[in-house]
Amino acid sequence: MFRDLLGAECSSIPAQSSARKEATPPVAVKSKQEGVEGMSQSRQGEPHAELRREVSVWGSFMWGYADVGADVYIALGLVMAAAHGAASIAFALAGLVYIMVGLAYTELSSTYPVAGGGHFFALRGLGDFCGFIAGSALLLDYTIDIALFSVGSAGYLNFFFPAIRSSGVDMGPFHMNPIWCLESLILIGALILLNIRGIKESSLLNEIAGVADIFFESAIVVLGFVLAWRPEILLHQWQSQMPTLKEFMYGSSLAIISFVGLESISQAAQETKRPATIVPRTSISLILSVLIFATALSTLGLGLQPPDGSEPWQYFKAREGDPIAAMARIIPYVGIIAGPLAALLGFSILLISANTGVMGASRVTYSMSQLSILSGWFARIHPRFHTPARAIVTFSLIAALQTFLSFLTPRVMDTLGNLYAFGATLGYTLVFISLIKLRFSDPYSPRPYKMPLNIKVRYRGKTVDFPILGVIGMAGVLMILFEVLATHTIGRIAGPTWVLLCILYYLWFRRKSGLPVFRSRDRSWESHQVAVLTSAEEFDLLEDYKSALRERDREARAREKVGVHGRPEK
Amino acid sequence: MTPEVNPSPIGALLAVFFVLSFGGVLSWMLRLPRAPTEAAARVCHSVSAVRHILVPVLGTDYSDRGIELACRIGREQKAEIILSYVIEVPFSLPLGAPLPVQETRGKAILERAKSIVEIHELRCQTRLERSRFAGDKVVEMVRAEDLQMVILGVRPRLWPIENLIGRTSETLLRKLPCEVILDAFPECAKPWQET
Repeated sequence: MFRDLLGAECSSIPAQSSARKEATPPVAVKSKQEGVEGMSQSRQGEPHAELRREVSVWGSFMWGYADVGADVYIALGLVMAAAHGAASIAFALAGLVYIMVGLAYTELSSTYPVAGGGHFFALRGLGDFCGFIAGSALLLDYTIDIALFSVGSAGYLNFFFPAIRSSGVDMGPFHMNPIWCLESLILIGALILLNIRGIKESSLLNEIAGVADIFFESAIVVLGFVLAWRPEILLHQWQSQMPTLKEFMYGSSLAIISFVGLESISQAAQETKRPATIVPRTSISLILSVLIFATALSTLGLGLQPPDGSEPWQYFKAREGDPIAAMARIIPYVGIIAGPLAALLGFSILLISANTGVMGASRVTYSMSQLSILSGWFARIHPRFHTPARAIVTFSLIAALQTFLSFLTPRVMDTLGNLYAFGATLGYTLVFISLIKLRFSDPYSPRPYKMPLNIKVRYRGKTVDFPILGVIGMAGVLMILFEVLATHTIGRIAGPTWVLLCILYYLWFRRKSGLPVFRSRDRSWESHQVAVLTSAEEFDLLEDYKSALRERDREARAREKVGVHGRPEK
Repeated sequence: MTPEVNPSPIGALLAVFFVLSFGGVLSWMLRLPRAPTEAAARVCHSVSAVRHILVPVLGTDYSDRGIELACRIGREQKAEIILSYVIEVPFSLPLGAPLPVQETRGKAILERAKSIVEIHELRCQTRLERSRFAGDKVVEMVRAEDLQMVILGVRPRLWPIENLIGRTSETLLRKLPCEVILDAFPECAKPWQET
């Protein structure tokens, strides 16, 4: 249905490239034309694919947690290495910014519960061009996600093979670890094959993995604090191991990667039951849960005594590939089991997270092609497996290339993390601007959740809630983006280059398709919103929306009358 | 080598804080409010969507009670109350004929009615209109301004049931395109009870 609403180009892609393939049978086909006039470009009378709403509150939380919950398995080592004794402060600072990002996403995804996430919000608020830039930043993140989490997953596997971790060969000016690189590439290859064939990963599998991870991480935190944590070590870190300003800036900008992935909940919104009610709850819970875990694990890590007698941050820097397993291992009594268990869990959850990158890339590609900002070529489905094979292969191969190139640098994880933060912060900046713009341009869409701290301003005869926290959040994200550009030596070149190349593609594609290049296509957003809320069964909001539109029309008619009667008679 | 055990009260406190905060977040998330059905949502909104209520006023106690009722219905959604007093001009006079006494009385009645609305801190408009029939004028206003509700406080009549309501009320009930509430004191029911 939404393809039709948004003027689809591609005619055949099913909206089922998700992890919910089992829970979401290929497509729930409906033929619904109501309220879509003015938007449709697809063939009339054709049945339209619509994602079925089956994801519950716990499923929605786990959908996000499978993505975001895994980030700390990677970020802990990187942030410890960069921010030293101030690692938990770096996490808390990034967490503060992320709370605001999360609140912005919560408002937007509950107001517009459609697949697409950040790029849809940017397109809705700022137009096609900005929507495309946000989409390209997201695609960069998804490819890095595939690369980073595959490398991380292999890193946790190497917990059992310490020789691999320390091996390396010199290739001219480069020093690389070929076995770890090969492992990562094999994992990416396996993900490509699985996704092309159409994996039967059900929400149940995600939920089981998520619950196991939550339980295990909680056990590490509780047992670690009770049995092994020493406040004097933490104090010592704060007194003698503080980073320089540049190191701290680098650390806090890397810490943002431990929170990246909220996008998943936004994307799942189109498949979530009662999204306007559930999405705000799961998003806020996810933000708080991840913040609690990230600060707890980093505080715990900085207060543990490493077995080799080094400073804790140095210990975790040396174990950048498997920091959680390394942490679990030094907990008394349980460490001997918890270490390998954490490694196994890290391996599996990071692989699931890498998989969400593959699926996320194909979902964003699909959504972008629906909105005519990307060619439908990417979203066309495989004739036999009925999966968007082209998108899967293209973006996974880009991820494989990124993996290989990053192994040529001295610290592979750091290089990938370096790039990850750029895409995320650019996307978030556009989302914040869209949030503010949409408060003015679309005050009629009911917002079941609104970012707190608003001031009322008059705009074209209407009272609009201006989001102060949105502005603060945007400033926070811009600060992190500045940190990224100032301190990420690779990210500041590769990130903008990627976006620039994508823009060149966009210009070529829009010109070729006969679409306006910098202007947006005409779309009937009101019909779209009515259709979205109807499909979401958010009847309460639907009535609110219709009533707001009626009121607006009534006022417009009243103004017209005044205008007519106010005209002097001849 | 097994790592050394270092139990610390601050560590235990942090562990408890962690469990409570994380548990609190999860339990809040899982306590979902009940979802209204489509019909229920429509019914709720049929009342809360009322943003403009017209109250024809006559200056009687019944009419004042109608204003009060309108204010209470519109309070939650901060509806606008439109108070109208219609001067019925007899056919023997042109519609624009000067009627200073009626106009003065109408203005006074509207002022009193406005003071009731102001107690409730709702937006209010007053209209002094002229027409041959008050009922037709009210219908015309509702149609022209797309108003959503009309509330009329009516005087109890001790007549037979077919004449229970007056001409204006009957016109409103027959012709209005929106919701109409005729508010009458319980005394209105007396003729039924007595018969």
